[in-house]
Amino acid sequence: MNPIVGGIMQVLTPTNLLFMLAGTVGGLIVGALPGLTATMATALIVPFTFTMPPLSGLATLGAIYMAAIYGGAFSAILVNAPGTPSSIGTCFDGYPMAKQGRGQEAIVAATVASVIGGLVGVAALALLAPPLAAIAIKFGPPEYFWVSVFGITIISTLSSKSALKGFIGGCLGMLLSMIGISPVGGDVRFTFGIPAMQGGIELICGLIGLFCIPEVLSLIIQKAEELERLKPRKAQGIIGTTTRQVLKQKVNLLRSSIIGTIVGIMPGAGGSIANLIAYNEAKRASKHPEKFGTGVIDGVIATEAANNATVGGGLIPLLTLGIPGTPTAAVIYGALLIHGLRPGMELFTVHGDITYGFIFSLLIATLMMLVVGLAIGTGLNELLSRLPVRILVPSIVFLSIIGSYAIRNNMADVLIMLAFGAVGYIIRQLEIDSGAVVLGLILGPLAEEGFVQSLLMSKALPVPWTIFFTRPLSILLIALSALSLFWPLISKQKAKRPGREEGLNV
Amino acid sequence: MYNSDRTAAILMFVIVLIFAFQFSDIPSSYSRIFPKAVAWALVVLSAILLIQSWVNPRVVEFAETRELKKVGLAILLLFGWMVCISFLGFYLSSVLFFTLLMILVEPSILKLNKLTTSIFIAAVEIGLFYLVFTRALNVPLPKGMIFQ
Repeated sequence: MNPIVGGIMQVLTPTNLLFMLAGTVGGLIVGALPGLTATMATALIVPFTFTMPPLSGLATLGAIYMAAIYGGAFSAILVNAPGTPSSIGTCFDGYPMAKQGRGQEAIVAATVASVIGGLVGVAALALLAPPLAAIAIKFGPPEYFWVSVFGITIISTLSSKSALKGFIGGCLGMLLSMIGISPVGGDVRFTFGIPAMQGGIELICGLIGLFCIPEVLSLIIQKAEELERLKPRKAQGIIGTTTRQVLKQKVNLLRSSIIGTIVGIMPGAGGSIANLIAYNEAKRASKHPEKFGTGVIDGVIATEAANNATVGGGLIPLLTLGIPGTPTAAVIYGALLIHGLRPGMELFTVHGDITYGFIFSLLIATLMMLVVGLAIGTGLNELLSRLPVRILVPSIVFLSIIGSYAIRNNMADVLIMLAFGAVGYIIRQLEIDSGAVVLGLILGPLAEEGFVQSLLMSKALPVPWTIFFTRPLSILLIALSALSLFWPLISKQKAKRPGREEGLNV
Repeated sequence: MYNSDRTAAILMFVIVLIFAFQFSDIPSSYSRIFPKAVAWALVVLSAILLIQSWVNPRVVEFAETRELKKVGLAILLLFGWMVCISFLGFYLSSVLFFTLLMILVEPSILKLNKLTTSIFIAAVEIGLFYLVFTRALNVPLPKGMIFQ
């Protein structure tokens, strides 16, 4: 039997479908809880898949991965706490939408965009895996350095109030990301004599602190009449209307999904970077970039399509070369090895039925996400909107403490989260964008590793520093960075031209 | 009223200074080179912001004193919660600080019957989270000295 048909037939058994449904529900819940990541969820489930047939185990893990990445959107939209780092950008417009009583609309948009992004990523995995993986291995340390520089230049568009303060926030985030053990030299640095700081700042703690705690503090001082606005608007047929609204944004969906797939392929990047790049590109392409951050559905669509596309993208180098594109893909790599499956061409020939079955199972899980996600999301939105603020505030803090602790079972992480929360509140008063600080936190280690490794590589060259400027892919990334950096100026010039007016989905 | 640009620039200088004191403790140049580059970038950007704060001053309204007091108290409660976990244990300290935060948000619940209901809500919610995290998801929660 053809391995593709064989794989599909094996996935469509009642047992496998049940495993995938359980994986989707579980992944969604884990993703929605701040502090519990897709990597953690898959790692926890791997031991249970030992006894399953290989395809059942992989299909369950794939469903958890896909749903957990999407689940992060729930807490991002409803309480401004990204459930996973892949949903950072979803907070920017999702939470303002919820504050305007449009939480349900944001959840539907996130669901539909996640499903489409997920499908594009899986399609790329099924059709383009070998050629895309070949491009990925051409990325060396200089390219990774420039990728992170490109990421940092996003700040110029992201920080609408002051690009200068945005870059200051980015540098602050990068500096904070260097606390702990250095990635190349291996030295312990900036720990201020505190042993618990040797492990560095856990990204999730930083995220919860910077996004969640300042919001809690704002809720505490908000007046009763302002809180009334949080009540959700009742609207008939909101699922249909929002779905149509999302599907109208074909370019945004496609662009964000492609960004997610490409970023997913690059080892070490992943959803946390993809969603921000997609958000930036959606904002740059918009006729009304100034409205981003105020509750624009376009922003939610971009981030959610991109982060779910990284799932398929991240599995491309894993299945073809044995290089995991994302941390969760690394866990799935372990599961493949446990079942005696070695990544490479053999996976597509000798074990073709399992591999194609696994890819097909991702497709099924993505579609399951649509139904399960809408049901759970609607329920959560209703529940949270009915919850009085006096209960909501301590509940968010309680969840933040658990989330920060759960990552490494370390109380120091809780302290770091609270410290980030206090800092987050202060920098918000100083009009420094928390998103820029987070971007610095994410890209700092990637930039440093690329920078120092490139310097080491270039020692043999007559002029060492030229390694950053001579490789073709580096030149392309430098050009993209320059374009991204000066984009606000370019768009201002473009806006001055007469006859540019078009509606925006707010 | 305060000049947000100037305050931000000064704060960044202080942060860079704190990090700069630690540079000499890093033995390998490979571990030092990138943080130094970022620190210099932060100094340059903050200097530009400082200059801008004089050339084009922008003042921002302070929050009301009553609001600031509430925020300060909330931050104290959050850190107090964390410290108490080490002594009272996670569950007991959580019920205590959960209730205290509820009172801070809505002081009117201090009436006896409302307070009892609030403590009950706190206990039930914490119990639910206990079941989900430790029993269903097998995720360990913080432990204290007296009560686990």
